[in-house]
Amino acid sequence: MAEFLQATIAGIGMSAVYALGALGFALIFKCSHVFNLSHGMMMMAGGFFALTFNVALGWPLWLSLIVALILGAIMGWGLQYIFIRPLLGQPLITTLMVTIAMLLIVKGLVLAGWSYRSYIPTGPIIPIETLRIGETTFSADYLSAIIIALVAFTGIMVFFRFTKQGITLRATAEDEQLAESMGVRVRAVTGLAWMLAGMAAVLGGLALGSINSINYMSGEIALKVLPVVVIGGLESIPGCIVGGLLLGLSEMYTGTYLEEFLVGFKDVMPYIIMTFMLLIKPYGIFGEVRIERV
Amino acid sequence: MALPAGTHNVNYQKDMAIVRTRFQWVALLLGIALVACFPLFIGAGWICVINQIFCVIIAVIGLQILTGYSGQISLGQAAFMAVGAYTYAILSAQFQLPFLIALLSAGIMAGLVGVLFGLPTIRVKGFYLVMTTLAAHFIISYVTMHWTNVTQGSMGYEVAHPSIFGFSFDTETTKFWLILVILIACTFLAKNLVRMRLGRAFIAVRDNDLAASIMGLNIGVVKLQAFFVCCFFAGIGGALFSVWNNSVEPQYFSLMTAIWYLGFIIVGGLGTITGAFFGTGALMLLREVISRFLPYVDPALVGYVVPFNDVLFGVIIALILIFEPRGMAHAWNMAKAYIRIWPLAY
Repeated sequence: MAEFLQATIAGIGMSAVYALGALGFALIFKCSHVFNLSHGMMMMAGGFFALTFNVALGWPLWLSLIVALILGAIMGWGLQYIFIRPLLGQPLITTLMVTIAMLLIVKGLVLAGWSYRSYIPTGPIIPIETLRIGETTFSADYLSAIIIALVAFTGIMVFFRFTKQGITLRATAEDEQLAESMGVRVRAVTGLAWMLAGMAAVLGGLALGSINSINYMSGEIALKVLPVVVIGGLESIPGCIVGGLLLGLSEMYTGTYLEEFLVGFKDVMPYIIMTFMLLIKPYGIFGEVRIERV
Repeated sequence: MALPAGTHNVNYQKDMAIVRTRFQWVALLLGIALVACFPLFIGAGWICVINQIFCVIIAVIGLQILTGYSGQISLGQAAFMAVGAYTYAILSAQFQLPFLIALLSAGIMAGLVGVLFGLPTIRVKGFYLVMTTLAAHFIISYVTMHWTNVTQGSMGYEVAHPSIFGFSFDTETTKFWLILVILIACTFLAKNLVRMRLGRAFIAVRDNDLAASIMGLNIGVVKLQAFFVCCFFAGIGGALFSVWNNSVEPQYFSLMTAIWYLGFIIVGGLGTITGAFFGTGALMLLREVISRFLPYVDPALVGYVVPFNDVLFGVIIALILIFEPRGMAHAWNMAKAYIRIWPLAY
């Protein structure tokens, strides 16, 4: 039982990372219809931004997080400005291809800047103690990842519901041309979505760093946000949470109970679940079913 | 491309021919002869590089048929190559099958695995397909890594030198000719495949799948056929890769490799077999030159070879997508047209 609880907590902690990554991805897909394959690499870069100030320069974590969030927003906006904007109006497949270029460039730059260094934050992200209830320990890293994810999701929900920018973002996602005719500056809105996605990538990277560590391999771990969004539904923000929970928990349970028989199977588990999901319900749990007209 | 002035196709055979004029025949044969003579004036080190490029070209032709002709993006090409490579290695080592039979079975095995992972394509398209092939990559690489009874895991699998009718291909040069012959055969096959009924069905599905289904094509079947063809080529390429390398290891077929392959066809030009040659040849040669040249400039730069290649390659893909989405194949056609009418451009 204790083992089960431990795996559940670790699973929820991991799902916070996945959900944060998926949030950035879903924001981009919702507002600019770009299937951003490079989002895993953006998470890795974001994690490096935050942890360089923290570990290498010795800044307090809150300060380095703020600076990293600004850098992440600049990264998101810059990638959008350089790569996506020239391809406005091109077929969706072209923008997907350009995200492959983005993936390679971000990966190359991170590898050139940090090479094979590996960073772990100096302390828990949110100053809390490790909780112990009976035999179960709630590690501070997992707890703070969960809290960050909750804050980020609440923030984004409030932003979408109550601010003017949030409402224009939703309008653009609904119908780009209609929004434009109502006076929404679609390009600026797209830029904003990418900035938010960059900030979400920083949060996700930092949470990933506190749970595992951030190094050159993190990009491939962060690639698991793609199954998360597919399971949740590409455009859905609640879907990120549900998909994240589903994958985080299943990954930790397979890690706990199947590791003796199938070494490393937990890393493939998300992809197997996703394949079945695609066969059964291709548009995800909360995804919109597209009806095509001829 | 319109025909040059003064060239007329007077009968059906001539209209359908791949090699249309006498000049093209001469150029083609001379070109093949020139390439076949490479070992005479190029060092063994570069022959080794060219062998690798040829193997990759075969796999990239497959990807070109799947992505360029039938419009299904795949990130699983490296993993399907691994399936072919392992099938070949196991068949030739454990069961002592002759080279050609093992090679063909490698292709067919990879094709069947590809069809298995292509099954979700019946229901989904576009972005979702990228995800199923990504899943295919991770599942296949897990199997190659951890099914140690069969694949020997991360230790890798030894592959003996192939031999046909007693002639053993044991040096780089003989392997070069072997791979060249198979590459030519594969190109011939691909060139013809994409213009017969099957290939035209691929193009119809790519251009408008709803229209294609209204015209009576079974889209699901056509997509699965595209998957089979693509993975068949990947399997052949992977098997030759293992022959060239004398071994198979899971880490040869990483996700980055698959991403690079997708980049090759973007740079070469989507929807042309020639594009696979241009993209793969140019970029792999460039990568090789950089990884030899950078340490020569300053030995301290060795660690920067991989990131530099990645960034450069990403920039090239982005530039091509933004400024010349039709790729190098189109640029080559334009250059040919320019030379043909020079100096009296009309």
